[in-house]
Amino acid sequence: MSATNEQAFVKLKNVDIIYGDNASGVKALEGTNLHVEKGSFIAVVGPSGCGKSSLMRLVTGLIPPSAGTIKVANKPVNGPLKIAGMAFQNPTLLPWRNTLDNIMLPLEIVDGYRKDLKRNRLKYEEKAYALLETVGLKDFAMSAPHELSGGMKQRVSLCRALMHEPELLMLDEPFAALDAFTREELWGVLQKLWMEKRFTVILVTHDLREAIYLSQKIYVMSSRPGKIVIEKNVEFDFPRSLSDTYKPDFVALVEELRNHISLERQ
Amino acid sequence: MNKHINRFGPWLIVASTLIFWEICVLIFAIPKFVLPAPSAIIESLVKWAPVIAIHAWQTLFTTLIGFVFAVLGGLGIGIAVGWSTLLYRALYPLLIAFNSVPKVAIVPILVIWFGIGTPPAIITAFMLAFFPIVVNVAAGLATVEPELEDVLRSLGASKKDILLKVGLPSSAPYFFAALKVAITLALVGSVIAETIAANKGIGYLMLNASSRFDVPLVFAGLIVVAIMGIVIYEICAYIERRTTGWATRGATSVVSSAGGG
Ligand SMILES: Nc1ncnc2c1ncn2[C@@H]1O[C@H](COP(=O)(O)OP(=O)(O)OP(=O)(O)O)[C@@H](O)[C@H]1O
Ligand SMILES: [Mg+2]
Repeated sequence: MSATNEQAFVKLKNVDIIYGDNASGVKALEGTNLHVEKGSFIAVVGPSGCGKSSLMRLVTGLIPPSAGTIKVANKPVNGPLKIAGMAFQNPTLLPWRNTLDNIMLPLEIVDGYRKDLKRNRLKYEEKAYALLETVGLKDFAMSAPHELSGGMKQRVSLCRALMHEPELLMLDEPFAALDAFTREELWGVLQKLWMEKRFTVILVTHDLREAIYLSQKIYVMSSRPGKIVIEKNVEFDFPRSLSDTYKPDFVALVEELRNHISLERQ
Repeated sequence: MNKHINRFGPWLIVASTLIFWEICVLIFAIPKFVLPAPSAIIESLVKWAPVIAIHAWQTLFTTLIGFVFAVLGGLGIGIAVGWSTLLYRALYPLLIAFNSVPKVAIVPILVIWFGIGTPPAIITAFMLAFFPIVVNVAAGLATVEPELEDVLRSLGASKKDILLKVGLPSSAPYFFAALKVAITLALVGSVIAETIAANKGIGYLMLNASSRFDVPLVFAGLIVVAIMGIVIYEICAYIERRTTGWATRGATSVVSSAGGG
């Protein structure tokens, strides 16, 4: 592991998760160690059911570990983080709010914002519009979720996760339900946002091309109970383009990771 | 053409049913005290209109008061039950028991406590309307997506924040669907209580008329109740459409449940 462990932004040490009681429950994670540096973009891949979503909920403090310790920003995690943004496969927008109001939701909740939201509403709405513009949805600010396509909803969900400028962005298969074209387009959107703002990202995905395209480091997990078996640095320069994903180095890396995973699934 | 059928279809069916009824009564010479013809019912309606109006007003009054209490109580308990699993476990058997008891059987007890008159009708209306509201509000609160809850909790949302921002709005369609059911049940409750223990109201009027074998007036009472039911139902349906139109366009489907009389 790297020498910068001490400065790691997210630090997991020997973490277990057991659902149910300790003796007979389902062990979802076992002895997991993870170090994510501030401002980096990492991806977690692994067979289905190995505990990736559990890992996400653990890091955000939504579930406590059964064993081991978790630190984020050098503080032990013992409750929901409050500095994280999350987005899932399902966009989970509020159907009774339009796009703009959906994006403003985090500001109504996060501590620093909720007090001065009323006073500075215009300023924040401007910010929301700017965010919408970067994902190409500026003209849809007043649309209801049912008027948006799946890909558009997912963009809104991404904007909502970023609205309060979280230090940590947790993405659990955010593009899995989209068609290939939309998905690849959103890779570009996410990469651009990340290069601009440099928040820390943990991305869970089943798509190896997606993981390599977006991240600086990939963690491969074993099947259940999950633990991290391989760490792989992705050295390609940013910004990466779609045509890069067809270059020999890139394809070779996809192959290599695919082999690891098929080994893990046995 | 299709539009016209949609518009006038229901009226056409009502009119042809009435005509068929009238003809049957004529052909088979059915006596008035068994089944009065529509014309006889209408005649009675017109003749007794001022009296019927007084009783209808009383029934509407007890129905609405009972309904308002059912809405307040149903919202309160529905939210409490949806909020806390502990309360849910504690109250659930009680609610089921409460809903299983035939309300007709309770009216005599109410008479012992409150005497004959308005209070038993209001309370019976309340009891019938209460349950569907509780069940639907609690069910609506339970539909909040766990992932959305995760998103909010990771922002530092308290349980109260989640209830206010997501729980209540997403249970609103269930609540308004329940209102439609509840208001008609409240009417049923009022009329039931009036036929047992009252000296005013459509139920009392019908009981009184039937004891005098004035069957056309009994039917006139039934028709007034039916019309009142349709009107208050439509008012609630209108409120539902105006407030939670988003739900019928999105994926959310609304189930409504009714209690028994
Ligand atoms: N709330 C829960 N209660 C009990 N068991 C659970 C719970 N959540 C997850 N599990 C179990 O933990 C294991 C890991 O689940 P998790 O959702 O973390 O997997 P995953 O890696 O995200 O899978 P996928 O790639 O299919 O999304 C699974 O075997 C699952 O059955
Ligand atoms: Mg998962």
